[in-house]
Amino acid sequence: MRAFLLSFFLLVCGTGLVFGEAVLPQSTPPPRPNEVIDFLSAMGFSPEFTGAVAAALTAGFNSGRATTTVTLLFLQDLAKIPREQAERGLEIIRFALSQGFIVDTGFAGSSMMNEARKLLALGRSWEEVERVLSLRLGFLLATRSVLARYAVISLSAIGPDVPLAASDRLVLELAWAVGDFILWEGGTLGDPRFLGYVQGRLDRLASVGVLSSALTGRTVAVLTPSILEEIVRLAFQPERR
Amino acid sequence: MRWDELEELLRAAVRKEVEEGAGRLSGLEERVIREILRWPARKSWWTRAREFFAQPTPRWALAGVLAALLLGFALGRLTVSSPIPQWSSNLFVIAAPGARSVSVVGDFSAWQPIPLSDPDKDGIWMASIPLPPGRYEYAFLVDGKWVGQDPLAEEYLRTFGEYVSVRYVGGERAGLSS
Repeated sequence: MRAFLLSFFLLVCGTGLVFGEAVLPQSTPPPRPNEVIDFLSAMGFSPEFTGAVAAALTAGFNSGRATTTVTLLFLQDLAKIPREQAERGLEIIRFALSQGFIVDTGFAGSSMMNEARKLLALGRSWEEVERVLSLRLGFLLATRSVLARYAVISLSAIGPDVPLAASDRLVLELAWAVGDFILWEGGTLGDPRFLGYVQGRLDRLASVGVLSSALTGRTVAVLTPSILEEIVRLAFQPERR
Repeated sequence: MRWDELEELLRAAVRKEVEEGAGRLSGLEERVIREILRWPARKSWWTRAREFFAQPTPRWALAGVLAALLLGFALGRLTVSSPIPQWSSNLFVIAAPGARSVSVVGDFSAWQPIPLSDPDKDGIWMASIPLPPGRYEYAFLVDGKWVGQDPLAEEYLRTFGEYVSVRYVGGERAGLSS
Protein backbone atom coordinates (compact mmCIF):
# COMPACT_ATOMS: atom_id res chain seq x y z
CA MET A 1 0.00 0.00 0.00
CA ARG A 2 2.77 2.42 0.96
CA ALA A 3 4.68 1.64 -2.20
CA PHE A 4 1.56 2.22 -4.25
CA LEU A 5 0.89 5.57 -2.55
CA LEU A 6 4.48 6.69 -2.99
CA SER A 7 4.44 5.71 -6.67
CA PHE A 8 1.16 7.54 -7.18
CA PHE A 9 2.51 10.67 -5.46
CA LEU A 10 5.67 10.63 -7.58
CA LEU A 11 3.62 10.11 -10.75
CA VAL A 12 1.42 13.09 -9.97
CA CYS A 13 4.46 15.21 -9.07
CA GLY A 14 6.13 14.16 -12.32
CA THR A 15 3.07 15.16 -14.29
CA GLY A 16 3.17 18.58 -12.62
CA LEU A 17 6.89 18.85 -13.33
CA VAL A 18 6.41 18.20 -17.04
CA PHE A 19 3.51 20.63 -17.15
CA GLY A 20 5.54 23.24 -15.26
CA GLU A 21 8.31 23.01 -17.84
CA ALA A 22 5.89 23.04 -20.74
CA VAL A 23 4.28 26.34 -19.81
CA LEU A 24 7.59 28.22 -19.64
CA PRO A 25 7.60 30.99 -22.25
CA GLN A 26 9.47 29.71 -25.31
CA SER A 27 11.26 32.11 -27.67
CA THR A 28 10.72 31.36 -31.33
CA PRO A 29 13.82 29.51 -32.46
CA PRO A 30 15.74 31.28 -35.26
CA PRO A 31 15.65 29.56 -38.66
CA ARG A 32 18.48 27.15 -39.31
CA PRO A 33 21.13 28.32 -41.84
CA ASN A 34 20.07 25.63 -44.30
CA GLU A 35 16.48 26.96 -44.21
CA VAL A 36 17.78 30.39 -45.28
CA ILE A 37 19.97 28.87 -48.00
CA ASP A 38 17.04 26.73 -49.19
CA PHE A 39 14.90 29.87 -49.47
CA LEU A 40 17.69 31.63 -51.38
CA SER A 41 18.05 28.65 -53.73
CA ALA A 42 14.34 28.79 -54.54
CA MET A 43 14.50 32.47 -55.56
CA GLY A 44 15.48 31.67 -59.14
CA PHE A 45 18.95 33.29 -59.34
CA SER A 46 21.67 31.70 -61.42
CA PRO A 47 23.48 28.81 -59.70
CA GLU A 48 26.76 30.80 -59.70
CA PHE A 49 25.19 33.82 -58.05
CA THR A 50 23.23 31.68 -55.59
CA GLY A 51 26.39 29.78 -54.70
CA ALA A 52 28.39 32.97 -54.13
CA VAL A 53 25.68 34.51 -51.94
CA ALA A 54 25.13 31.25 -50.05
CA ALA A 55 28.85 31.00 -49.28
CA ALA A 56 29.01 34.61 -48.06
CA LEU A 57 25.87 34.25 -45.94
CA THR A 58 26.95 30.95 -44.42
CA ALA A 59 30.32 32.46 -43.48
CA GLY A 60 28.48 35.50 -42.12
CA PHE A 61 26.19 33.34 -39.97
CA ASN A 62 29.18 31.49 -38.57
CA SER A 63 31.22 34.58 -37.79
CA GLY A 64 28.34 36.73 -36.46
CA ARG A 65 28.18 39.19 -39.36
CA ALA A 66 24.63 38.13 -40.22
CA THR A 67 21.76 36.38 -38.45
CA THR A 68 19.46 33.80 -39.96
CA THR A 69 16.32 35.51 -38.65
CA VAL A 70 16.82 38.93 -40.24
CA THR A 71 18.44 37.49 -43.36
CA LEU A 72 15.41 35.29 -44.01
CA LEU A 73 13.08 38.29 -43.57
CA PHE A 74 15.28 40.30 -45.94
CA LEU A 75 15.21 37.51 -48.54
CA GLN A 76 11.44 37.33 -48.19
CA ASP A 77 11.33 41.07 -48.97
CA LEU A 78 13.53 40.52 -52.03
CA ALA A 79 11.29 37.69 -53.23
CA LYS A 80 8.50 40.24 -53.71
CA ILE A 81 10.39 42.43 -56.21
CA PRO A 82 11.63 41.74 -59.77
CA ARG A 83 14.52 39.29 -59.87
CA GLU A 84 17.00 41.75 -61.43
CA GLN A 85 16.38 44.27 -58.66
CA ALA A 86 16.57 41.56 -56.02
CA GLU A 87 19.89 40.39 -57.45
CA ARG A 88 21.34 43.91 -57.29
CA GLY A 89 20.20 44.28 -53.67
CA LEU A 90 21.62 40.92 -52.71
CA GLU A 91 24.90 41.65 -54.49
CA ILE A 92 25.39 44.69 -52.24
CA ILE A 93 24.95 42.44 -49.20
CA ARG A 94 27.24 39.74 -50.65
CA PHE A 95 29.94 42.30 -51.42
CA ALA A 96 29.65 43.86 -47.95
CA LEU A 97 30.04 40.42 -46.38
CA SER A 98 32.99 39.58 -48.61
CA GLN A 99 34.62 42.75 -47.29
CA GLY A 100 34.06 41.53 -43.73
CA PHE A 101 31.38 44.07 -42.78
CA ILE A 102 28.55 43.30 -40.39
CA VAL A 103 25.39 43.39 -42.52
CA ASP A 104 22.89 42.41 -39.84
CA THR A 105 23.07 42.82 -36.09
CA GLY A 106 19.96 40.76 -35.49
CA PHE A 107 17.36 42.69 -33.55
CA ALA A 108 19.83 45.08 -31.95
CA GLY A 109 20.69 48.20 -33.87
CA SER A 110 22.15 49.47 -37.12
CA SER A 111 22.69 47.21 -40.09
CA MET A 112 22.11 47.16 -43.83
CA MET A 113 19.34 44.57 -43.71
CA ASN A 114 17.58 46.31 -40.82
CA GLU A 115 17.82 49.63 -42.68
CA ALA A 116 16.28 48.05 -45.78
CA ARG A 117 13.41 46.64 -43.73
CA LYS A 118 12.88 50.03 -42.03
CA LEU A 119 12.64 51.81 -45.37
CA LEU A 120 10.20 49.21 -46.68
CA ALA A 121 8.13 49.63 -43.50
CA LEU A 122 8.11 53.37 -44.27
CA GLY A 123 6.65 52.56 -47.68
CA ARG A 124 9.72 53.58 -49.69
CA SER A 125 10.30 52.04 -53.13
CA TRP A 126 12.90 49.36 -53.68
CA GLU A 127 14.89 51.77 -55.89
CA GLU A 128 15.27 54.07 -52.88
CA VAL A 129 16.21 51.15 -50.65
CA GLU A 130 18.87 50.04 -53.13
CA ARG A 131 20.28 53.55 -53.36
CA VAL A 132 20.51 53.82 -49.57
CA LEU A 133 22.15 50.39 -49.30
CA SER A 134 24.78 51.46 -51.85
CA LEU A 135 25.46 54.64 -49.90
CA ARG A 136 25.68 52.71 -46.62
CA LEU A 137 28.21 50.37 -48.22
CA GLY A 138 30.18 53.41 -49.35
CA PHE A 139 30.21 54.79 -45.80
CA LEU A 140 31.37 51.43 -44.43
CA LEU A 141 34.27 51.18 -46.90
CA ALA A 142 35.29 54.79 -46.39
CA THR A 143 35.09 54.60 -42.60
CA ARG A 144 37.27 51.51 -42.40
CA SER A 145 39.77 52.95 -44.83
CA VAL A 146 40.09 56.24 -42.90
CA LEU A 147 40.25 54.58 -39.47
CA ALA A 148 43.02 52.31 -40.71
CA ARG A 149 44.88 55.27 -42.17
CA TYR A 150 44.83 57.00 -38.77
CA ALA A 151 45.88 53.74 -37.07
CA VAL A 152 42.72 53.52 -34.99
CA ILE A 153 42.17 50.01 -36.34
CA SER A 154 44.39 47.55 -38.15
CA LEU A 155 43.47 45.73 -41.35
CA SER A 156 45.23 42.44 -40.91
CA ALA A 157 42.59 40.14 -42.41
CA ILE A 158 39.34 40.85 -44.21
CA GLY A 159 36.54 38.44 -45.03
CA PRO A 160 33.17 37.09 -43.95
CA ASP A 161 34.71 34.19 -42.05
CA VAL A 162 37.36 36.17 -40.17
CA PRO A 163 36.50 36.11 -36.44
CA LEU A 164 34.56 39.19 -35.44
CA ALA A 165 36.59 41.87 -33.60
CA ALA A 166 35.50 44.88 -31.54
CA SER A 167 36.74 47.10 -34.35
CA ASP A 168 34.17 45.58 -36.75
CA ARG A 169 31.31 46.96 -34.66
CA LEU A 170 33.14 50.28 -34.29
CA VAL A 171 33.42 50.61 -38.08
CA LEU A 172 29.73 49.76 -38.44
CA GLU A 173 28.54 52.25 -35.82
CA LEU A 174 30.83 55.08 -36.93
CA ALA A 175 29.82 54.57 -40.57
CA TRP A 176 26.18 54.55 -39.49
CA ALA A 177 26.50 57.73 -37.44
CA VAL A 178 28.22 59.52 -40.33
CA GLY A 179 25.60 58.19 -42.74
CA ASP A 180 22.69 59.18 -40.49
CA PHE A 181 24.05 62.71 -40.20
CA ILE A 182 24.53 63.14 -43.94
CA LEU A 183 21.55 61.14 -45.23
CA TRP A 184 18.87 61.83 -42.62
CA GLU A 185 19.88 64.80 -40.49
CA GLY A 186 20.47 67.09 -43.45
CA GLY A 187 24.08 67.53 -42.42
CA THR A 188 26.70 68.92 -44.77
CA LEU A 189 30.48 69.09 -44.86
CA GLY A 190 31.62 71.87 -42.57
CA ASP A 191 28.53 71.57 -40.38
CA PRO A 192 29.67 72.51 -36.85
CA ARG A 193 27.34 69.86 -35.36
CA PHE A 194 28.98 66.99 -37.24
CA LEU A 195 31.77 66.06 -34.84
CA GLY A 196 29.59 66.38 -31.73
CA TYR A 197 26.86 64.26 -33.34
CA VAL A 198 29.23 61.42 -34.17
CA GLN A 199 31.17 61.56 -30.91
CA GLY A 200 27.93 61.66 -28.92
CA ARG A 201 26.61 58.58 -30.76
CA LEU A 202 29.80 56.61 -30.15
CA ASP A 203 29.99 57.61 -26.47
CA ARG A 204 26.36 56.66 -25.95
CA LEU A 205 26.86 53.27 -27.61
CA ALA A 206 29.88 52.65 -25.41
CA SER A 207 27.85 53.59 -22.32
CA VAL A 208 25.33 50.83 -23.04
CA GLY A 209 28.01 48.29 -23.82
CA VAL A 210 27.50 48.04 -27.59
CA LEU A 211 31.00 49.39 -28.26
CA SER A 212 34.23 48.76 -26.43
CA SER A 213 34.86 51.73 -24.13
CA ALA A 214 38.61 51.66 -24.67
CA LEU A 215 38.35 51.53 -28.45
CA THR A 216 35.66 54.20 -28.49
CA GLY A 217 37.76 56.45 -26.26
CA ARG A 218 40.72 56.13 -28.62
CA THR A 219 38.53 56.79 -31.65
CA VAL A 220 36.74 59.80 -30.17
CA ALA A 221 40.11 61.27 -29.22
CA VAL A 222 41.37 60.93 -32.78
CA LEU A 223 38.24 62.13 -34.62
CA THR A 224 38.25 65.65 -36.00
CA PRO A 225 35.87 67.43 -38.36
CA SER A 226 38.39 66.98 -41.16
CA ILE A 227 38.56 63.19 -40.61
CA LEU A 228 34.77 62.97 -40.78
CA GLU A 229 34.76 65.05 -43.95
CA GLU A 230 37.38 62.70 -45.37
CA ILE A 231 35.05 59.76 -44.70
CA VAL A 232 32.17 61.49 -46.46
CA ARG A 233 34.28 62.43 -49.48
CA LEU A 234 35.58 58.88 -49.79
CA ALA A 235 32.08 57.46 -49.46
CA PHE A 236 30.89 59.49 -52.42
CA GLN A 237 34.06 59.00 -54.46
CA PRO A 238 34.66 55.26 -54.56
CA GLU A 239 37.60 55.60 -56.92
CA ARG A 240 39.59 57.31 -54.13
CA ARG A 241 39.08 54.57 -51.47
CA MET B 1 7.34 0.17 20.48
CA ARG B 2 6.12 3.29 18.74
CA TRP B 3 4.88 6.30 20.64
CA ASP B 4 1.36 6.00 19.27
CA GLU B 5 1.12 2.34 20.31
CA LEU B 6 2.43 3.18 23.77
CA GLU B 7 -0.08 6.02 24.04
CA GLU B 8 -2.86 3.60 23.05
CA LEU B 9 -1.81 1.15 25.78
CA LEU B 10 -1.61 3.87 28.40
CA ARG B 11 -5.04 5.17 27.46
CA ALA B 12 -6.51 1.65 27.64
CA ALA B 13 -4.95 1.11 31.06
CA VAL B 14 -6.24 4.43 32.38
CA ARG B 15 -9.71 3.76 30.92
CA LYS B 16 -9.81 0.32 32.63
CA GLU B 17 -8.70 1.84 35.91
CA VAL B 18 -11.38 4.50 35.68
CA GLU B 19 -14.10 2.03 34.76
CA GLU B 20 -13.21 -0.25 37.67
CA GLY B 21 -13.24 2.64 40.10
CA ALA B 22 -16.36 4.27 38.67
CA GLY B 23 -18.64 2.63 41.24
CA ARG B 24 -16.68 4.16 44.05
CA LEU B 25 -17.10 7.73 42.78
CA SER B 26 -19.96 10.00 43.54
CA GLY B 27 -20.95 13.66 43.17
CA LEU B 28 -18.94 16.09 41.12
CA GLU B 29 -15.95 13.81 40.83
CA GLU B 30 -18.18 11.06 39.49
CA ARG B 31 -19.77 13.35 36.91
CA VAL B 32 -16.36 14.58 35.72
CA ILE B 33 -15.05 11.07 35.39
CA ARG B 34 -18.13 9.94 33.46
CA GLU B 35 -17.81 12.93 31.14
CA ILE B 36 -14.18 12.03 30.48
CA LEU B 37 -15.20 8.48 29.73
CA ARG B 38 -17.65 9.65 27.10
CA TRP B 39 -14.84 11.28 25.10
CA PRO B 40 -13.42 9.00 22.45
CA ALA B 41 -9.72 8.31 22.67
CA ARG B 42 -7.76 10.86 20.58
CA LYS B 43 -6.19 9.20 17.55
CA SER B 44 -2.59 9.93 16.70
CA TRP B 45 -1.72 11.63 13.41
CA TRP B 46 -0.17 8.41 12.20
CA THR B 47 -3.39 6.44 12.90
CA ARG B 48 -5.49 9.11 11.20
CA ALA B 49 -3.15 9.18 8.17
CA ARG B 50 -3.26 5.38 7.93
CA GLU B 51 -7.04 5.40 8.11
CA PHE B 52 -7.23 8.18 5.51
CA PHE B 53 -5.02 6.40 3.01
CA ALA B 54 -6.76 3.07 3.66
CA GLN B 55 -10.10 4.70 2.85
CA PRO B 56 -9.66 8.28 1.59
CA THR B 57 -12.65 10.55 1.22
CA PRO B 58 -12.98 11.80 -2.38
CA ARG B 59 -12.63 15.45 -1.39
CA TRP B 60 -9.34 14.95 0.44
CA ALA B 61 -8.02 12.59 -2.23
CA LEU B 62 -8.65 15.26 -4.88
CA ALA B 63 -6.97 17.90 -2.71
CA GLY B 64 -3.93 15.63 -2.34
CA VAL B 65 -3.64 15.07 -6.08
CA LEU B 66 -3.90 18.81 -6.74
CA ALA B 67 -1.28 19.56 -4.10
CA ALA B 68 1.09 17.02 -5.65
CA LEU B 69 0.47 18.53 -9.10
CA LEU B 70 1.19 22.02 -7.79
CA LEU B 71 4.35 20.82 -6.11
CA GLY B 72 5.53 19.25 -9.36
CA PHE B 73 4.56 22.36 -11.32
CA ALA B 74 6.50 24.60 -8.95
CA LEU B 75 9.52 22.32 -9.17
CA GLY B 76 9.26 22.40 -12.95
CA ARG B 77 9.14 26.19 -13.05
CA LEU B 78 11.92 26.68 -10.53
CA THR B 79 14.38 24.06 -11.68
CA VAL B 80 14.25 24.54 -15.46
CA SER B 81 15.98 27.67 -16.70
CA SER B 82 14.03 29.85 -19.12
CA PRO B 83 15.31 29.81 -22.71
CA ILE B 84 14.65 33.57 -22.93
CA PRO B 85 17.73 35.62 -21.97
CA GLN B 86 17.35 37.88 -18.96
CA TRP B 87 16.95 41.16 -20.86
CA SER B 88 15.55 44.30 -19.33
CA SER B 89 11.89 44.92 -19.95
CA ASN B 90 11.12 48.13 -21.86
CA LEU B 91 7.76 49.80 -21.81
CA PHE B 92 6.47 51.21 -25.08
CA VAL B 93 3.45 53.37 -24.43
CA ILE B 94 1.39 55.78 -26.54
CA ALA B 95 -1.86 57.65 -26.04
CA ALA B 96 -4.18 56.82 -28.91
CA PRO B 97 -7.78 57.29 -27.76
CA GLY B 98 -10.27 55.75 -30.14
CA ALA B 99 -7.68 53.76 -32.05
CA ARG B 100 -8.67 50.31 -33.22
CA SER B 101 -5.16 48.86 -33.41
CA VAL B 102 -1.77 50.09 -32.25
CA SER B 103 1.57 48.41 -32.74
CA VAL B 104 5.25 49.25 -32.47
CA VAL B 105 7.83 48.52 -35.16
CA GLY B 106 11.57 48.82 -34.74
CA ASP B 107 15.03 47.39 -34.97
CA PHE B 108 14.10 44.99 -32.16
CA SER B 109 11.49 43.31 -34.36
CA ALA B 110 13.23 43.79 -37.73
CA TRP B 111 10.40 46.28 -38.33
CA GLN B 112 7.62 43.74 -37.97
CA PRO B 113 4.63 45.05 -35.97
CA ILE B 114 4.36 44.07 -32.32
CA PRO B 115 0.80 44.76 -31.08
CA LEU B 116 0.20 47.06 -28.11
CA SER B 117 -2.80 46.53 -25.85
CA ASP B 118 -5.24 48.74 -24.02
CA PRO B 119 -7.00 46.37 -21.65
CA ASP B 120 -8.77 49.06 -19.57
CA LYS B 121 -9.91 50.98 -22.68
CA ASP B 122 -8.53 54.31 -21.46
CA GLY B 123 -6.79 55.05 -24.75
CA ILE B 124 -3.32 54.32 -23.38
CA TRP B 125 -1.78 51.52 -25.37
CA MET B 126 1.29 49.71 -24.15
CA ALA B 127 3.59 46.75 -24.55
CA SER B 128 6.53 45.61 -22.51
CA ILE B 129 9.36 44.27 -24.66
CA PRO B 130 12.49 42.64 -23.26
CA LEU B 131 15.59 44.00 -25.03
CA PRO B 132 19.33 43.53 -24.72
CA PRO B 133 21.49 46.66 -24.37
CA GLY B 134 21.68 48.67 -27.57
CA ARG B 135 20.38 51.56 -29.65
CA TYR B 136 16.94 51.03 -31.10
CA GLU B 137 15.05 52.98 -33.73
CA TYR B 138 11.30 52.53 -33.62
CA ALA B 139 7.91 54.01 -34.43
CA PHE B 140 4.29 53.35 -33.59
CA LEU B 141 1.60 52.37 -36.07
CA VAL B 142 -1.78 53.76 -34.99
CA ASP B 143 -4.50 52.25 -37.18
CA GLY B 144 -1.76 51.72 -39.76
CA LYS B 145 -0.56 55.36 -39.61
CA TRP B 146 3.13 55.99 -38.88
CA VAL B 147 3.70 57.85 -35.59
CA GLY B 148 7.45 58.34 -35.31
CA GLN B 149 7.77 60.85 -32.47
CA ASP B 150 7.46 59.12 -29.13
CA PRO B 151 7.60 61.80 -26.39
CA LEU B 152 9.58 59.32 -24.29
CA ALA B 153 12.30 58.85 -26.92
CA GLU B 154 15.85 59.95 -26.32
CA GLU B 155 16.41 61.10 -29.90
CA TYR B 156 14.59 61.40 -33.19
CA LEU B 157 15.85 60.71 -36.67
CA ARG B 158 14.22 61.84 -39.89
CA THR B 159 14.23 59.26 -42.64
CA PHE B 160 12.80 60.38 -45.98
CA GLY B 161 10.86 63.02 -44.10
CA GLU B 162 9.36 60.62 -41.56
CA TYR B 163 10.49 60.59 -37.96
CA VAL B 164 11.68 57.54 -36.12
CA SER B 165 12.28 57.55 -32.38
CA VAL B 166 15.52 56.33 -30.84
CA ARG B 167 15.89 54.66 -27.49
CA TYR B 168 19.05 53.40 -25.83
CA VAL B 169 18.70 50.38 -23.60
CA GLY B 170 21.18 49.64 -20.85
CA GLY B 171 23.79 51.78 -19.16
CA GLU B 172 23.36 54.42 -16.53
CA ARG B 173 21.15 56.72 -18.61
CA ALA B 174 18.64 54.13 -19.72
CA GLY B 175 15.80 55.78 -17.86
CA LEU B 176 13.04 54.14 -19.86
CA SER B 177 13.93 50.61 -18.93
CA SER B 178 11.66 49.28 -16.26
